[in-house]
Amino acid sequence: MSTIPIDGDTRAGSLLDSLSELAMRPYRILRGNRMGEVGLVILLGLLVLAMIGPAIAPYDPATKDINEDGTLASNEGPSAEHPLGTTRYGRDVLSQLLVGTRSALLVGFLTATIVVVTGTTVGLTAGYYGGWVDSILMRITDIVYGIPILPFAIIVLTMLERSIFWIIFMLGLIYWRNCARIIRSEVLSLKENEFVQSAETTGASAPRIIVKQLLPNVLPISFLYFAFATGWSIVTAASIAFLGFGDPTRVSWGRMMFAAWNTNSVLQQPLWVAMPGLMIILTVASVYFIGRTYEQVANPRLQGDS
Amino acid sequence: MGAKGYIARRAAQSVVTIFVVAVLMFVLFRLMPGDPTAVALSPALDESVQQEMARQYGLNQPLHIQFIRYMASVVTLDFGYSFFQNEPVRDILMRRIGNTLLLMGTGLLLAYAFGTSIGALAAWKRGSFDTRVLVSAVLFRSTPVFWLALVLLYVFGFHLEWFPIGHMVDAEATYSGFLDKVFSVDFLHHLVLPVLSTVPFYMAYPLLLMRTTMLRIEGEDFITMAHAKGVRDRDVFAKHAARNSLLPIVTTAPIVVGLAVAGNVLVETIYSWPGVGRTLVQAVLQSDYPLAQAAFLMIAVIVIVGNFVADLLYTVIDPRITYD
Repeated sequence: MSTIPIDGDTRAGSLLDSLSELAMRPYRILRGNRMGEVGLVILLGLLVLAMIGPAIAPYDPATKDINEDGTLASNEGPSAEHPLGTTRYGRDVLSQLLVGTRSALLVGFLTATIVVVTGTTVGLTAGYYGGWVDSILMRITDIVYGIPILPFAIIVLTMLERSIFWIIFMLGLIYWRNCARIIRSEVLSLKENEFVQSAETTGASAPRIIVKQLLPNVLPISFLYFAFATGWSIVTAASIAFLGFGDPTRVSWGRMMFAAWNTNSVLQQPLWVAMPGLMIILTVASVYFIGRTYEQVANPRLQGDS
Repeated sequence: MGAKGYIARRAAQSVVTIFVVAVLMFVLFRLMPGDPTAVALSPALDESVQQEMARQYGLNQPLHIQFIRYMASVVTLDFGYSFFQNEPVRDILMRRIGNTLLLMGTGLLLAYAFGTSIGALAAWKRGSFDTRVLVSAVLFRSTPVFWLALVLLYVFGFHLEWFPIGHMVDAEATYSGFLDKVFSVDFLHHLVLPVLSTVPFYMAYPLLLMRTTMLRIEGEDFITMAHAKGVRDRDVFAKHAARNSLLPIVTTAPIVVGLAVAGNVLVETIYSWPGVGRTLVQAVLQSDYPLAQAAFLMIAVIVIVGNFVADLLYTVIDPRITYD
């Protein structure tokens, strides 16, 4: 005997199906699109670097190199021992660059996870329930839109603690706003659809409708915002670090540039500034390329935020 | 509800937002680990001076009294004296807000002018031009403002020495007033590098959005109709397609203003531009809390007013809007 779905589940597919579909769809979409493929290859390369970076780094990024005559190997140009030269304090630029990959991707992906989980939940709840629930959630969203993130970050990190945890937490707690608004408006139009209304008439509960009917349909948007939020948070975290409010216990591209700027080394050792910046551009552009390609193919109606 | 009611409600919401952000600041500044008076007052100061300062700033009052005094200071814009510069916070900020708006306004103006026209052209021409524009825009959007600022400073400031490396005007130059200064060649010379550092980052968003909207509009009936009527290509482009693509550009302006606020903090810091953003960073680093608090609130107000103005423009531009 075959089971007959009575609440319209088949229409939207089960969550597990749509999750696996979601995992495969970006790949299928990116294949054959030059921009998407380039983005994917770069991102995979960076992921590998983030994993093995500290292992293949030629030096400990914190070790000061002392010359034979006992002086510090300060702000040296590229050489065989130091392919990208040294910092003001005689540390190896290449090693810092390699080790810094991990911080950037960690901040990017963890922040994006908070953004997408919060944004999707708020958007689904506000859009589906409407009424006062919607009003309250959207007023909160408006208020979050009023917070200038970089100035806010500087103050929060000074008052609490300059740690990677607080940076991720704070960026996540602000950047969900765009995602929530877009998902809410998508839910508003989905609600008018036949399959949601038939589920309602068969007596499916609100959480069930949200999870089974609405969520699978907004997941592509969530995925898109995951990509965008990764980019935004990497750039913002680097800006925070450049101003001197980064996590002092971690090697990061933003902190490298902060140190170079703060020790007036930009002129003597331009690579110390140029390379971390180029790594940020590479990383962020790769996720934006993936996002844009996915957006064009998966949902041409969206007006991208990248 | 009519347009007036809608605008009034958005205005009220903006005021509430400012209020909530102000409360948030109060809470944050009291979350500091340890005794706030110990952080705010330098132990190097004389004991009696410390007590006098604590009294003056109300730091020895119970929390609820501090809160009332704080909210009163927000409403009256009287934030007391800076810890480090013997001057009222309000005077310091009033002198600098113009500098910030000038830099930010120039950057945004150029970004929107270039962004919308290049985006529209890319959608109109398509093909390889479009692809090149698209890839450049994504790269611009990925480039941190502070990094570009450092690169431009290095190349055009230090190496080629084409432009000054900081400040708004020459140290020796004297001007009779703000306008006199702003309309001088000296000032424009100082403005070039900071503005060039921000424009690519700001313009990417309107560019991509304009392009997407144009592509969608070009497929619509009224464009086909205009072509069929024999309207010149140029006119279809400018008067029909581009003009109708401007609406989303206006409605998303707050996002770009948000980017610009962050960009300004960075560029002001790098180019020693005497604006509110640089003031905030310095005040936070020096633990000059009255100044930091007020500078932050001022920046937040710029963002919130920006959001409100976009709402206003929206009601003016699109008569189809429903006010719900």
